[in-house]
Amino acid sequence: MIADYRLQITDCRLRRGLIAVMAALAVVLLVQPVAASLCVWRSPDEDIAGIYNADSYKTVFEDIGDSMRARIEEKLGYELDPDETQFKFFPVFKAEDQVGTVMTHAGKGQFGVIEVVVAVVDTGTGAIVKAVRIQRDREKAKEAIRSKEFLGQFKGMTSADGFEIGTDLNTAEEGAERSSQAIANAVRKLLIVYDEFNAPGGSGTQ
Amino acid sequence: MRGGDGKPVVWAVVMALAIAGSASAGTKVDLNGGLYPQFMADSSGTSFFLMAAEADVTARISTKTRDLATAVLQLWASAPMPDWTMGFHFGEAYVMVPLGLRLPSIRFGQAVIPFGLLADYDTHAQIVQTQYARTLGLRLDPGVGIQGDLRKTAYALWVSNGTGPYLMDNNRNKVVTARIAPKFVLGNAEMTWGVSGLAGVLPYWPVDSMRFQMWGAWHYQMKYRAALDNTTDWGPATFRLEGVMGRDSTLSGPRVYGYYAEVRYAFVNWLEALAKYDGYHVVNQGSLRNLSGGLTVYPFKTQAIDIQLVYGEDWTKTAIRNERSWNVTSQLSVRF
Repeated sequence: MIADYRLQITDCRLRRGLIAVMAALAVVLLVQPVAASLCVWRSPDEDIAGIYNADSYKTVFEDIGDSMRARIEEKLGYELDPDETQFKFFPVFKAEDQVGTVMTHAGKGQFGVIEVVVAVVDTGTGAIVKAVRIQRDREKAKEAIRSKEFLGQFKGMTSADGFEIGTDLNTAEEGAERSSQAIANAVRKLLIVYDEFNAPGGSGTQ
Repeated sequence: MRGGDGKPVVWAVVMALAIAGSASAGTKVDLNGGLYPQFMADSSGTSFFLMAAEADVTARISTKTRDLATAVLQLWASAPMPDWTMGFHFGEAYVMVPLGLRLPSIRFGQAVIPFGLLADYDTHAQIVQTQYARTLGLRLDPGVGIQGDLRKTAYALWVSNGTGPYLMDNNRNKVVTARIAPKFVLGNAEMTWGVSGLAGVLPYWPVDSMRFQMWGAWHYQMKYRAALDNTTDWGPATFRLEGVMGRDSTLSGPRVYGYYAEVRYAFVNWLEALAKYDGYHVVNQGSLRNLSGGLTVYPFKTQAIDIQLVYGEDWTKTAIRNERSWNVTSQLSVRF
C-alpha cells in the first residue's frame, strides 16, 4: 500500500511538473498576465433589458499600462488598487447599433466589497451615466444604497462632475456615508477609465 | 477505474494549443491565477505546504455585437494532495456558449455540478468546505448542460458522467442534476433560495471509509439526492444554509441526510469572522460532523490577498469508530 502510494506520488509529481512546464511555456509565449478582475457581471440579461431594452452585449477586457495608470490616478486624485490593472467593459447593442456600455467595479465599502454596475451612453464627448445598480454588497444600509433616491442621483453625471457625498451628492442614509462614498468613487473611477480608453470596445458615439 | 490518469497532461496540451490557436486568431486570452500556501496543526503535529498553485486561462471569442463562446481552463501545479482530493478543488475546463439575451447558455466540459450551494459558492480556495464530498463524493464532473436566468430566478440543468474529473466514463449511466434558485431582496436582506435534485451513479464510500476518499473512488453506486439551499446577505452578515436528503443504491436503499450552516460577519472591510456546523448521516450506519470557527483578514487594500485561520473539530461515529479530532489551518491566498 505504501509502496503503491509512493509510486502514485512520483507519478503525480511527474505529471504535475509537465503541466507546470506546459503552462509556463504557454504563458511566457502567448499570454499577457493580468491582475485579478474580481467583479463579474451577475445579471446581464436583467440589467440590459431594464436599462437599455437592447438585444446583445459583448465582453471587452482592457489592460492599463503604466502611463494610463498615471493619468487615471492623476484625475482620480488617489492611487488605483494594486490589482486594478485591467477593467471590464460590456458594449451593449440594439441590432447592429451600440446603445451604451456597462462597466462593473468591486470597491471596498464599510463592511466588504460593493459590486457596482454602471451603465453609460456616449454622445461623443465622453461617458454619461444612464443608470447605476448594486449587484452585491454587505452594507448595513443595503436597502438605502440600492434605492432609486440614492442611485438616481448619478443619472446624467460625467467624469467632470463632483462626486463628494455631503457636498455634491446626498448620502443614502445617515450613517451610510462611507458606503455611499465608496459607490460614488466607483462610479467616478469607471467614468474616468472609460473616457481614458475613449469608448473601449465600441464604436464611440451612441 | 483510474484509466484517465493521463488527463492532466492532455488538458495541459489542449490548453497550450487553445491559447496558441486563439491568440493567433486575435481572440482575447486572459491569465489569472493563485497561490495558496497552508500551515496546518492537528493532534499528530504540524505541517507547512503549498496547498496549490493554480493558473486560470480564459479565452473569449466575440463577434462585433456579442460573445460567441468563452473557454475556461483551470490548471493546478505543485499540489501535495492526492488526485481525488485535488479534484474537489481544481480542474475546471469548459466552454460556455451563450445563446443570447433571455436564453440559456450551453456549457460543456468539466465543471462544478450545480447542486445546492455548489452552484453559487466557490469553495475551491476556501479552508471551510460545504458537504459535497460526503453527500455527492465529487464537485467537478465532465458533462454538458444549460444554465441561465429568468428575471430573478437562476436555473441549471447538467448531465454528467459521474466519474469525477480527469477520468474516462466508466459506465453507461449519467448523472442528471437540476437546480432552480429565485432571488429576493427583503429590506436589508438579499436572499437566494435554491432547490436541487440529482440522480445517477456517483463515487461511493461507506460512511466509515470516507477518510479514505483521497485514494479515489473504489466503488460507484446509484445516488438520489434532493437539496434546499439558502444564501442570505443581511447587512455585514452572510448566511449559507443547505439541507440534503436522499437514498443510496436504490430508492429503497439506505437513507442519507446532511445539513450545513455557515455564517460570516464582517466587522470592518478587512476583517471577517466565520462559524460553520455541518453533518452527514447514513441511517443505521453512522455520522460525520464538523464544527469550525475562524477569521479572514484582508491585510492590504485589495481583495487579491487574504489570510484565513480556521479551527475545526470533527466527530466520527460509525459501527467501528467513535472519535473526535481537531485541526487548525491557516492559509495565505494570493490571487493575481
